[in-house]
Amino acid sequence: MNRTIIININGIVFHIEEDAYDVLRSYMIEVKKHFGNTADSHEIVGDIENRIAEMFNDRIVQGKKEVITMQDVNDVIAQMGKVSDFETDGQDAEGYTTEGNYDNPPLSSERKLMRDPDDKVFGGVCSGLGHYFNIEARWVRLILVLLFVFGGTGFLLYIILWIVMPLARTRADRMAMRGEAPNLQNFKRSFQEEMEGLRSNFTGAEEGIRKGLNSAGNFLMRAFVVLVKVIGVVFIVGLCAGLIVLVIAIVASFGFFGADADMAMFPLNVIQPDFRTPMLISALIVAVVPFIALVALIIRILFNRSAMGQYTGFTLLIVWLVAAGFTTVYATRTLNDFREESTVVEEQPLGLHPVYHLKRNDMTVIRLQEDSLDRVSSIRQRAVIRNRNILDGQSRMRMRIVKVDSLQSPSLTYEYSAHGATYERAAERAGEIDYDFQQQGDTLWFGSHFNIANNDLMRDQQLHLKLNIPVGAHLIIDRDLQRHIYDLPFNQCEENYGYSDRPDKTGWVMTVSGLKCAITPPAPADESPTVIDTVPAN
Amino acid sequence: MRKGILEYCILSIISRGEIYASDIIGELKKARLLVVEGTLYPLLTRLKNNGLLSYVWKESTSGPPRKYYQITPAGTDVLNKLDSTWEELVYAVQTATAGRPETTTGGE
Repeated sequence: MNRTIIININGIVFHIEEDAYDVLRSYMIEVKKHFGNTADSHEIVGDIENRIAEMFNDRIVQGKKEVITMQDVNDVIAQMGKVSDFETDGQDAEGYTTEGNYDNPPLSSERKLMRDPDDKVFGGVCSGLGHYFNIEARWVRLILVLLFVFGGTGFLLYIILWIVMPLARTRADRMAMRGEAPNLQNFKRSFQEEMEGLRSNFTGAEEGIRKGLNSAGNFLMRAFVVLVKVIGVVFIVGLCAGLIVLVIAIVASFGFFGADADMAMFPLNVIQPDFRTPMLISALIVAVVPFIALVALIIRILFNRSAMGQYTGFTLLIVWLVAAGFTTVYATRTLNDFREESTVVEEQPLGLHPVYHLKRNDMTVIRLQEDSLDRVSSIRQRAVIRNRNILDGQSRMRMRIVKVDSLQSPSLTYEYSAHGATYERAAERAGEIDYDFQQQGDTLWFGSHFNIANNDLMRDQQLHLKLNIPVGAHLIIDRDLQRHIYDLPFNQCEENYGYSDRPDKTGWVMTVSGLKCAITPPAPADESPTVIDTVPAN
Repeated sequence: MRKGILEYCILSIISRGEIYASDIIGELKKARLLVVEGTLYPLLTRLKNNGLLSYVWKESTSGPPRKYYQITPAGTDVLNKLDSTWEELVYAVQTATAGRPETTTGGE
């Protein structure tokens, strides 16, 4: 029983046996290659095909013999002549030899990098490499095993090559892989070899078993297979564990910090409360599905068995795409809310004093109100505070100290800024920033952080303070306020004190050329040391 | 040496009248000139492209339509010239080989 293939030559349909088809096809490829470089090739090949069709047609007897066999093809080729016969007999056709078509053995040096299904341990990658570089496959395997042992790169390399190299499915593929020219002789040889191999396979089954037991290399290879599979299983288990941990972590964090507005942590407080749940779920799917796909891929590669059905995989892909789309839409919406920036400026006059003590009021210290002594609200407040530590950089007050004329009165300028989809929304948001500053006599209390109104989203809110100090006034700045003031050379001023420890506060004086350290450096009195500490006035 | 002779023979065969490619093969085989058909098609195509031949498609009773080749006036001219060239060649060879002692005649 033979499989037949239906072919169409010049509009006539033939049933042809599979192996006969292979031979015919490679013959036609050879013919085309022979005439390939000439202008008339199309016509000549057409003539030859036409003639072959006619000869096949003569051999078909309706109802008795309807299939073209190997014998028919061989006869037709004998009559048509082998391409090598064209060469010797057709040397008078000088027009066809000009391209040096006959000098090069056709394509024999061109090998294709493919996986060899006839000689494989897992995927035939090594034997394919061996064919490509014309080395025995076992050396390639040895190199890969060594690579695997030293550093494990061999495994990755193997996986990548497996994915990249196509499997040599047809006989023509396999010949291209071995670098054999796809001509008739090689084709027949390959076919015969295959047939012989098949026959010996049938007869020599027990011999094969004996060989397998005897050969130490084979044994090592099997041990290697087992080893790789064990490692693969460990890998899969690890991946699954990671997956579960990931899911639990996301779900748990969702449960803890979910939609509750004032407890939302960083990535969440950017998103509008209504969107948080769908956004989290879709982000979860986006993160988890590739994990599952990776596990399935490894199972498939290692055990040659697909871990999920086609439909499951397809469904997963769809779900992933939908989730990714969802995430993108919400991310874009959220980003859109950052489009405009607005700054609201407010100025507050300060009581006049010759010396000001600048102190920090730490907003992160728990100050339980009297009416909130119950446990729930204290926990809540703690959460808010922890939240603020994470967001320290985001909600911290920043301050500059600026010189004004000695006749002007001191003042404090607030610059609130925020982002929003529209300018008005941004301005509204900036106005909702809540900041606590108090003057008690000559002491100025600065809150360390500002608050965002409840239920408002994180939209890059910032607070910049400008302390306007008239020339001649003195400032004594607490150390813990230093990190809110970003343009004073505190280090140099602290050194001027000459203490072994850092001083708790530093004294400054506003001069015509800006704010200077009130203490001059002790030892080198020659030069004008004050220059070093000068801050350019603005 | 066979260069050109094959064309000469093919032109001669076609000059007798419309003929199909496989019949040309038959004639050539009868003359023991050509073994395989594959050689013929490039030759015919070249002769046709040089304007010495033309062909017509004819429906066949069995199988695909066939190309029937016929000679063109230009082809007849060339054939006549080849005839005289051939006669000159035969004369030259005969003259040159005449009077040789009887040995085996050279191959084709």
